Amino acid sequence: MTALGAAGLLPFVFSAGAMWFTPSAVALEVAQSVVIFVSVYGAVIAAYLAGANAGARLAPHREQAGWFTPGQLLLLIAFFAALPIKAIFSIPLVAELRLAIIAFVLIMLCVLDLRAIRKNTLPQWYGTLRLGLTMIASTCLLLVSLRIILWGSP
Amino acid sequence: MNDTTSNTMPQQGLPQSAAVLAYAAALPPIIAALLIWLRPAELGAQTTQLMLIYGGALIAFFGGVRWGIAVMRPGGPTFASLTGGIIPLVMSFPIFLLEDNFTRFLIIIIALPLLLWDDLRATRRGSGAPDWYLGVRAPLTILMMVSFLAAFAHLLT
Repeated sequence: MTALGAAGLLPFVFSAGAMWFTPSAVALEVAQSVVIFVSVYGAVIAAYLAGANAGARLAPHREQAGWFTPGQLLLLIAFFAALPIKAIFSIPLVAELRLAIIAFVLIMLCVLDLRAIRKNTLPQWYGTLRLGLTMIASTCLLLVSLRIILWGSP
Repeated sequence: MNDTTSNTMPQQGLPQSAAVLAYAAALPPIIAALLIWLRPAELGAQTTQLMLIYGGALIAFFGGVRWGIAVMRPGGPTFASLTGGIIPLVMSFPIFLLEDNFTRFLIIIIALPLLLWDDLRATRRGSGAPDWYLGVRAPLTILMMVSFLAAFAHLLT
């Protein structure tokens, strides 16, 4: 499970690395694609984690059901943050803000899971893993965002 | 608390809220499919983008649900059950990254019923979501499939 979680982190880490090694080692055109890729990847992971939160509440053999609306609302926020400009209902946000919103959604999804752990709805070991993965993923997203801010434009 | 007791709350408390949320989640593809057919010139291309991204997010979400159920398995998750949760996530990536709408629609149209079928199997084995979830999920998948097929048919015309 830890290996699978760590594998899921790789795109975040590589994206942040690529952005901070631009233009010395990575071409600017590549960096522009990285920004699009990491925002989409972050939103997909947010959708996945919202699903995982709902799934844990649906699982058989569990003792307490819960309300899974907050996770779905967070998923909607991430969805609109990652929606490309060419799509209908897309929100005209700058890339650095989109990334910050997705980082926020990942953190809030982790908070939801940690609350579920406190109520014994999710196992303790899952919280330790989730906390570590979320910290790294959201830090990488914020590092990409910071790099764009320092550049002035993506 | 035995299994009978533990299952009481989900059966009584969740289905109505889950059903409302689930059917609300089906609205965007239904509306999008209608827009693609009714206003193709002005809104067709933009609505197709929204629909495809939404379909990809749904597939990732359903993968997450499987992951969440696997995590809660008594005795901890198995590698196979976790992998079963990751496959839909991996399937969703091309939908976000590809430019070709034909392939993107095709992935969604294949993945949605496939995931439903596999979830039904897991429920029958007792290792999946409860019956009521699939009672909501099955008609929901059919509704969404009709929407995606309608939009796909427009793409082919």
